[in-house]
Amino acid sequence: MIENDNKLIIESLNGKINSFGKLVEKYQNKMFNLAIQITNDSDASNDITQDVFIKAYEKLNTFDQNKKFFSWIYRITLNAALNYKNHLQFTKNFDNDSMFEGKSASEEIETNERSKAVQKTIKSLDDKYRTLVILKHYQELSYEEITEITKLPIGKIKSRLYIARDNLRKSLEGINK
Amino acid sequence: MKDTKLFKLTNRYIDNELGKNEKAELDELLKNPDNKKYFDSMVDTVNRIEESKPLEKEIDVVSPVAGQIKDHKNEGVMAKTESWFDKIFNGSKLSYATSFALGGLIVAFIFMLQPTNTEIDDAFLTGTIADRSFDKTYVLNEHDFEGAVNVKYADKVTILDVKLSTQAEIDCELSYDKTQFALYGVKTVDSQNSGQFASHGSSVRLSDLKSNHYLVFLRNLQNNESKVRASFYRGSMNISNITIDIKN
Repeated sequence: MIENDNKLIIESLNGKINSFGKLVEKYQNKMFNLAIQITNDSDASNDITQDVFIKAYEKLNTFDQNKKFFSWIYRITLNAALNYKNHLQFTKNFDNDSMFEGKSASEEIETNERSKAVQKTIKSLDDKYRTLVILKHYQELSYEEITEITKLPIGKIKSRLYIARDNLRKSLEGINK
Repeated sequence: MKDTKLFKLTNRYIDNELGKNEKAELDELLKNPDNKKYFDSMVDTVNRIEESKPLEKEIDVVSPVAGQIKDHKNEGVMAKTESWFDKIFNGSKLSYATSFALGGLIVAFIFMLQPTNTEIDDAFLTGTIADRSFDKTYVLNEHDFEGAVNVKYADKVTILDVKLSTQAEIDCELSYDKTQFALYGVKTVDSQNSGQFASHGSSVRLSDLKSNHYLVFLRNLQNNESKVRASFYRGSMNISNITIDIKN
């Protein structure tokens, strides 16, 4: 995968927009679904996905081709989505509204009540725990991939994820299965 | 939280990372009903998390992304040159000559239509930069930046002073009614780097307000009241907008 991506990156740097288009096509759904899981906002996630690819294109000449393009772009998406969510949170708090009211992705897609309750509990976690739950259990990434994306040591990722699972266990105990 | 050993082994079991000895150790711990209850509860929690994974949606942003990056400077010089030549030189020599001649005439015509600048000279601009009093101030107090757009009304010119205090890379786009204003010039003040701006028809985009403080000079084409919209962007994401009233 890394070789194919690097070939497309080199072609993109030589001006072949179609090659960059192939990278966009390959990763757009993964980026979008990560963004939506963080922001819970479909329109914003679409914008974030586009912005991330444009930003990646602008910085493509700084990309270290010994690293995985996937991890690099995933990291940019994660940061953009967290920035968006935190900015939104600030604005909403400032306006005395509760977070994520109104149109949300979770309302757009069909999920059962049980899943909604779990998603809500995950949403209530602090970002540093919630992000890892999403990356590990929703995005189904390995610890090695998570460490490449977050730049955190594996030990720290595991200890945070273990705590997150334990906190979720306690929170979900009272919620019907 | 349960004791550290059970906590760690349960999580390693969930991640399918248990070694043979650890498995035996966990089995031993699970003989205790409390430990077993905790273990089952953790496994159930992780199952519930994974079952709650939202349905994945699909998007197609290939075309919009390609459209936005087409004119970008990262486009390789060779490809850019090839593209230009392909677009321009794909007809007969007569058609090239006709195209160039027509283009020249159009450019000359556009220049003839431009209002003259003779009434605003460099001394005026220097004086304006030195005189830091303003007629109106629009304060910005956002999540990751604060600052102000100051407005000064001068004879035939409106000056917009755009200064932010921020750690983020933020651009500002000023949009105006081109029947009311023409962009006279942009000056950077107290800049850490040489500021960059780009004008497109009825707007001017000021880059990187983290490092630059800009003065934008708009020539008043008519003596009417009008508005200028200031839009702030982090990357291409719009993060704030203000509307500035211009009184002449």
